[in-house]
Amino acid sequence: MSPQPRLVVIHPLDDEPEIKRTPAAAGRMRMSRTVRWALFALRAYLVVIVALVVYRVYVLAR
Amino acid sequence: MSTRTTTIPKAQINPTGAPAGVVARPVGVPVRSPLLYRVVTFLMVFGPGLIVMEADNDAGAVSTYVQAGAQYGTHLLWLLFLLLPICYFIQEMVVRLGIATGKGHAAIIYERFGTWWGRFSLFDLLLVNFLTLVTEFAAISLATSQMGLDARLAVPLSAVALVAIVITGSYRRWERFTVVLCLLDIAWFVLARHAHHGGTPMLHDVLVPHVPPGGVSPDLVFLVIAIVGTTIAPWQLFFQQSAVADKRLRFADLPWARLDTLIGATFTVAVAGAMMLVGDAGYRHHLPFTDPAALGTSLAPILGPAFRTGLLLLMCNAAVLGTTAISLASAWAYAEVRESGGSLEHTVAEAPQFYGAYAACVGLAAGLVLIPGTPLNLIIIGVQVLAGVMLPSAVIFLQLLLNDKELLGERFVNRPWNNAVNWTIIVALFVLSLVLAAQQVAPNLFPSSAG
Repeated sequence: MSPQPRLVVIHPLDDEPEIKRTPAAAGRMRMSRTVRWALFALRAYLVVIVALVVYRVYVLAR
Repeated sequence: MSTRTTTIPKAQINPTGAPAGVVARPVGVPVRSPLLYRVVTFLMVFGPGLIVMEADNDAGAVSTYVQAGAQYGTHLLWLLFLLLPICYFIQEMVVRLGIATGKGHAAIIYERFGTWWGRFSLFDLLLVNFLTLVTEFAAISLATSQMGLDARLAVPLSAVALVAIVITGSYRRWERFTVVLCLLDIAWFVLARHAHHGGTPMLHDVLVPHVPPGGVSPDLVFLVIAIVGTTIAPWQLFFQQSAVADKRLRFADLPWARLDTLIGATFTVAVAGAMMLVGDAGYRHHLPFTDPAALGTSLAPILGPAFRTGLLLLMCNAAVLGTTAISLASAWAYAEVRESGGSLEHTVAEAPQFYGAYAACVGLAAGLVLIPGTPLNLIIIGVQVLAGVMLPSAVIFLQLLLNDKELLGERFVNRPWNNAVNWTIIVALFVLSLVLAAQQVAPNLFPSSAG
């Protein structure tokens, strides 16, 4: 008689750890044009927001 | 490896997997059919997606959605329908990142973008999360006071219970408890059914985008932005990636984690719709809106006292769910950056910084609410502004990381269609959050709401 196929489902927390992709080994992100532009846009956005906050504080202080 | 498929002669099967004479806990669930195999695998993976989405229906969300219903009836239901795929697309990226790296979002930003951006993201997250927690406890205080309980007792008790549910040293125990809290939100459908008898007009309002009667006004624009900001929150990115990493989801779990996220997004948007229908009862009876608790009191003579009690209890549930998820997002991020090891699988002695950060978030926010004269309105505005500032930056980092082939490889990196969709979402979020933040910090730049 042939053995009956058995399927065993293992919870992730009970399973052996998997080898993941490690960012530490990759180091800092390479600054491609897209990355540079995205971070520049983010900085500009933050500057505008901070300027708005300063304006608001100035209006409240007057 | 992931879930295993094995062919073992029956006589050789040791159900515990341990050598003869050794007692060990079972490590797997044997199933007899491929269909059951898939179902059980999904049930084991299920959790983070539902929790992250439903916890976003927190006290602030209850207030926003009920207000939308109370002021515009069912005319903004289509917006929720539109936000469903956006919610899913953003959180699906987080799932991929978490499964591929096994690390939390804060840790990845630190490692790939450097200390400055890492500190900026962490500080922003901790600040906006803390202010949000204050609003959660304010809602608990409001709802319990309306039920005749002493808030000075109810708020500290809630804080103690919220700490107690995470310090069991078991991720699974916390997840099961939190999933039950999520499922309690099914009661919103009961309230909505009681408050609103749907039909063809409601289906039209869900499927066809349109401007509510009265036309476009600053108040409407503000509410639309608030709904978008409420439905997609920065802490969700950090929370789900950390939860996926803490649960140690495997590469093979990705399809199930996606399904979990899709189910969570659908359920959450449906619950948000039910909240709008509850508010719609006030709209149809021409009742003024100040807050959901007051609306429940106003509706009690029409819909009965049980309706009011149900609304107050669901407000508390929303605040508790939001508090545990948001505090965990902060604690995970803090522990990741400090590299102090933060996992719900650890005991308090093994991860003192992680649990300390969680308890500090909960304790300080609860304490602040109990101080008489705390400027809650200022805090609510602060939450909206900071969330508006943080969301686009958080999504930008997410998008850059998901295009990082060096980090993720070809398997997990974004496809061109992902990028087209995501950049569209990012631009829309940038514009909306800029308008929201500008309206909050400089209301003179825009026409007055009264005008």
